[in-house]
Amino acid sequence: MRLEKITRNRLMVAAAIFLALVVLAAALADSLAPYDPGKLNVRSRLQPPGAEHLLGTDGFGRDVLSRLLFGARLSLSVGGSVVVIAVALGTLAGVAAAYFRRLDEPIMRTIDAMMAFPEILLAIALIAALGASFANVVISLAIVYTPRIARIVRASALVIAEQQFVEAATGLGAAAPRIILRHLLPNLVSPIIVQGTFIFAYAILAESSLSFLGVGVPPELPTWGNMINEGRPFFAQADWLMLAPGIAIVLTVFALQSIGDGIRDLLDPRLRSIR
Amino acid sequence: MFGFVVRRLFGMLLVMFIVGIIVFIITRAVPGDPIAIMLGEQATPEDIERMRGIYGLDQPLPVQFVLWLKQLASGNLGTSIFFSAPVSQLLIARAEPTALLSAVALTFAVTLGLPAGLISAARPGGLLDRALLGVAMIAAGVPSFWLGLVLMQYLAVKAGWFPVAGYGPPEATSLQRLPYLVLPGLALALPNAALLARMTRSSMLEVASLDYVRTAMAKGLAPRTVFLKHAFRNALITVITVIGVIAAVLLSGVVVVETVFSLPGLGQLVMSAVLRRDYPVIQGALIIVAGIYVLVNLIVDILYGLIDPRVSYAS
Repeated sequence: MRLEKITRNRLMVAAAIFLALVVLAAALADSLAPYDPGKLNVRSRLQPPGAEHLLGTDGFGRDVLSRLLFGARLSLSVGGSVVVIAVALGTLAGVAAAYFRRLDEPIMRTIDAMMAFPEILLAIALIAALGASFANVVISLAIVYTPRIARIVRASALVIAEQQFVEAATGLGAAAPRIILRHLLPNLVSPIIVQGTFIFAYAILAESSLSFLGVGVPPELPTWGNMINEGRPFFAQADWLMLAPGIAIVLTVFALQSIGDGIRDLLDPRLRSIR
Repeated sequence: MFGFVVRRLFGMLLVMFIVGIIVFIITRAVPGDPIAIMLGEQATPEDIERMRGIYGLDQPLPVQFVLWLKQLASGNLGTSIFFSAPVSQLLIARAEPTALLSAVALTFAVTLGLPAGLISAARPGGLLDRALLGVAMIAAGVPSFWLGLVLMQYLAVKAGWFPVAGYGPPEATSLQRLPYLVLPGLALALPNAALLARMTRSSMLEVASLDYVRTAMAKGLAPRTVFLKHAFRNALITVITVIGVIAAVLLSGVVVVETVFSLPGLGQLVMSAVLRRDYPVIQGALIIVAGIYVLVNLIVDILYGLIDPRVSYAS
């Protein structure tokens, strides 16, 4: 894939730069944040955005910008961890279903069943069973999104397994593990990256919904969802409390989806003119 | 066609059986003893033990599972531990707000998304297309609950155009409740309208590049006729799939948006059941909602055949 081809999609480039900045901000939150995100200061509570506090302060006088930066770290960690786990489990299930015929039915029907639940409802039920904690939110969302990866992986793997080079490898006597590792997996990387990017975005959205419902990441952690929830009672006097984290979510999800779209178009040029 | 429906119904039963297993595993893993919570602090261990017997909770898990399946098969979703009322009754009582909200949201999503997609596809690459596409891409990433809160604040609290929250007085008719559903409906619909607009656009453009559309144009038919009659009918397949997906996905957003707008629907029932560890209610709601999803999918599959005679149900 040539660089020139990538840079032609200006939206994707802009999205990638934005996302890189968000990741950088999240990584450097300790040194970038102007204030301690947890420091209470009753005297300067609910200050509107201004020179001292660029995005104002919340109901406890905490600096919103600092919390937003640390929130980026938490929200991106949720999204990233969910993607890693879902990709691992989904690839395993998808390849197994595609390659071992006898496993296909049971795996795929289980996946159908899992996808029959509304995502948020399944996540809530799983968290209720596991207990609300950062790790359990990640695990629950990873379980919720695993079927998506598994479906894509199985479909792509079935197509690849039919190709002549796989047939040739089988004919030459290559064993199943070798075919899966050397021939199937490398060709599955692109569809997995595309789907993984979208799941990253969905996971950030879902995390914020769960935090809002009070079953997400513990409220003392400043995820973007928790910040929206905390800002809710103050919306009439201090709308920046809810607008700032909300806009952060919208922009980050927009960037992730644009990158996903961009990669998909690069991989399948036929779609470029259409989408 | 008949054989196809029967086959799909059988597959649906299998999926629902697995759904049952998943629901059972999840709800039995919920920590905390619901009986102890229900009976309160004064309950003696003997009381708790007796109640466990009444609810069948003293049996081994596999036995509980089979008992539960038998119950389900006879249409009995169990009894709420908190309300001491049949779960099916609770679900029915809460179904109306959820159903109405979903219908309103779906209507919004289709009336916004479908025309937007068609307008985009009419002049791909044009200014209007780019603008709509940009809006759609951003809208797709807006969290519904946040959008709901923002709409509520600006259009209900500040402007006073809509009721802030709730579902109206108990004696209100469905029609009188509609104003209460506009903002939650919009909040739910917007991300889905965006999805529908993009899918409508791309499937229209895909179809428009086919030979038969060019032939229709070449023989001198009005572009409008070709666009709306020839191309749109074929693009409908994708569009209907997406609408089906949206109908199902809406149920997910409903839980959150109902909480935002204090609508007494299924979502609220489930959320409170989770907090009360009332697992017959969680079980019943999960089963019913998953059942609706599977059913919607079946209907969409059958619709394909009615719209597109090329779709074969042979194997």
